Amino acid sequence: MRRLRHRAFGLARAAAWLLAAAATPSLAVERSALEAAIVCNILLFVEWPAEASWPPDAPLNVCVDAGSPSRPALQALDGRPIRRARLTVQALGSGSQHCHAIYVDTPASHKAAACRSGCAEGVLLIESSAYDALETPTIRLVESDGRLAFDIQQGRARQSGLTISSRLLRLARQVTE
Amino acid sequence: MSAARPAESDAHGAIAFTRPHRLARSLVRAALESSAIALVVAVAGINALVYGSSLADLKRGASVLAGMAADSTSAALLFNDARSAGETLEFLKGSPEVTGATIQDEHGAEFARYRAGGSSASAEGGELVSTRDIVQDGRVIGHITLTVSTRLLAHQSWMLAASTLSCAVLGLGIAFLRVRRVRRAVARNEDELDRLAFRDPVSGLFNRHAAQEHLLRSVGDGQPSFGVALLDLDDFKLVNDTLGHAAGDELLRGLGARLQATFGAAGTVFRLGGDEFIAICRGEADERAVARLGRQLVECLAEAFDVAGRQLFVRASVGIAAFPAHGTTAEELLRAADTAMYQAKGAGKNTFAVYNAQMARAAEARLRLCEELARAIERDELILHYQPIVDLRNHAIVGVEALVRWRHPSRGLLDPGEFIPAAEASGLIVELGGWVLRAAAAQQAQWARRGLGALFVAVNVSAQQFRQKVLLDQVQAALASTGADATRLQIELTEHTLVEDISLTAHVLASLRLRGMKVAIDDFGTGLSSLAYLRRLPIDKLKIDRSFVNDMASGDEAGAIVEAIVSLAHSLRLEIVAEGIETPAQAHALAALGVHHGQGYLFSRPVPAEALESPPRALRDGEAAVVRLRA
Repeated sequence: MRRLRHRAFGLARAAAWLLAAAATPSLAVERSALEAAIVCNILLFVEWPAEASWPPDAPLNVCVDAGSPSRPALQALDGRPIRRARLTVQALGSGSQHCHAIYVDTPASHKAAACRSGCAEGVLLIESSAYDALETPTIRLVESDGRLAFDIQQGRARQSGLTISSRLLRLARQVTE
Repeated sequence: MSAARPAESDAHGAIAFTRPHRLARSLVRAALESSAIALVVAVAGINALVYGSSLADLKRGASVLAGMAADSTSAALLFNDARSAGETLEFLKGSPEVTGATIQDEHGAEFARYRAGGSSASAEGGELVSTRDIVQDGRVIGHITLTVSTRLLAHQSWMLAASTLSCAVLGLGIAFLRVRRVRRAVARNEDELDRLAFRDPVSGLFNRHAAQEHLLRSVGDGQPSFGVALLDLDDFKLVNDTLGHAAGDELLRGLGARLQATFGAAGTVFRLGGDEFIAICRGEADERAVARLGRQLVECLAEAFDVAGRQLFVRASVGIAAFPAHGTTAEELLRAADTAMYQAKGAGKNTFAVYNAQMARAAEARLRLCEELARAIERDELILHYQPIVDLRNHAIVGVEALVRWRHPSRGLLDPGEFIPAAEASGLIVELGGWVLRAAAAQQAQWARRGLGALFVAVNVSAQQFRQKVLLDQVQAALASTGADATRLQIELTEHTLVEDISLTAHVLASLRLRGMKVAIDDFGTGLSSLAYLRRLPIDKLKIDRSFVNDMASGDEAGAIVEAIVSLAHSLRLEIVAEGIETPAQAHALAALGVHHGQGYLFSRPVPAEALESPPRALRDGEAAVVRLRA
């Protein structure tokens, strides 16, 4: 009985992952929440330069366009512990703002990311599956076989001084240099 | 009594005393049992230790594997990638003992699983389970459960047990070979011990122990009849004392061999010790058969033994008892044979006697007599009579021989012959001898006070007083308690008593002489015909036995013997006394031969002390008392 309940729960979760091209508003919200969760999980397997010297509970800034549909979902994860740091969701604003990761799902965030592409030291660029415009995001969320997956550009990560855990690499749909 | 089984007949019908190497067997059994126990304990201990250690290793390994699986699948669980998690778990293939793994999410729902190919192992053997939390950044995101088969461990443990057990058995085999060698050595020693236990080293015959074992196994309900002959050599001690112990041993060996040869396979001869043998003969044990047995034994001694270059003739007294007629237990049979032997000795030695009920009654009577005698000494029922000893030249009384009498409350006055043998046999003679010494000394002291101190008093002492080394103490006590004159006390002893222990006798006689006492050899000429001791021992007087005196008139031989004794005594400067003089002719003849003193019915029977005190005048100091000759 218990086993059946677990199986039903798993199916429900799998179904939630299914993407609909013409998403209804409610589905879009759910997708944003999923992507936010994935982004949060990805952060757990990425190591930033000099992270070892960070003080405890140092902010790990994830910058997102203020108009991003995923922002509320991300905002909901604000304060989550990421190893020794804490997830801090910030709105993309001035260029002087330090972002450890930029979630790119809007043209504004695209622009901010592109602006930093030349000086992307220590910045993780995560592109939403719904956007797909960046040339070299570090991690691109993609839809594959009705599921959300992700591709990783290792070269870009290395260029940014980021270290991605092999466990994450193993889960990636595609890893390119 | 030993639990040995000695009485087994060998192929020739003779008895073989063997024991089944109990010590050797026990040794082997104990050694093997100890080794086996030690090995089993060691094997069990090693196997338990190894199994426990291996099981702990397996658990530790399962825990490590679970930890590795948890660590490597945490990302997949986090990203809800069950396929990837399943693929990751495939690394468990490298650990054949892992039969399966299940990952559950934080809610307990199964997320991924791994099953080893052909994992029937879990069905066959036992399995153990290791569960670990899957943790990511300090947060438990699921659980992994690893099932590990213990079949391999069990298999290895059985293999180890089998191999260690094989080694143990091999070791036990080697130990057995080693112990078997020791067993043989111990068995040899046991044989030697058996030989020592059952064999008499001097004669080569079986010993008293063997005789008892054999008798114990020969009696009982339904056992066939057999005869028991107890044989005691007469005068064997003389051989030892005069020819030496080596000659004595040689005689015993020769005698043993001859006795055994007499019976052959029909009987077995045992040496009980000293000069005592026992023959146990199978077959009919009726009256004729046991009489034949007795004759055989006496006749086989008729021929002389060659010992130390001499021809020795041996005499023996044989007592015979039959099973079951005369006894149904070993003890009864031995007692019956002993009683019969006592009878044979009393009948003049060198003969045999077959036990009968009358003997038992006689033995019983002797026992009763001894009890009464013991009481008689306490109650002062004994008295001394004195037989005068006269100077044969003038028939004046020079001394007396003290002779004990018993005023029996119911049987009247008893002569020594009626109770001395029983006293000798029971050992009561020692006490009796002490009493006689004391009473005689008291009488001498009393006579001295009455002016008759010139008379000497001769007292007979027994061999047992010498043997038990009490004679000197008894003499000392008698002199001290009575104030008697030691120079007027004389000790009379037989030749047999003399030679029992020459050195002891010499010492005692020398001590008596130091006190001024004289020593006389009683019944001279009837004993051992060994004159060597006359020179070696401090002796003052010889008493010619009454048998020679009595036979003097009947033939020349006795007269010649008396002449020889007198001549010998004169040569050795010994006084000489003739016993048993009954006729004037004997008195004259003896006096003519130079015999100094004489005693006998011619002069006087043994009489109470008072009878000697009259007529007083005749017995005054310094005067010769002339005893009136009777016709």
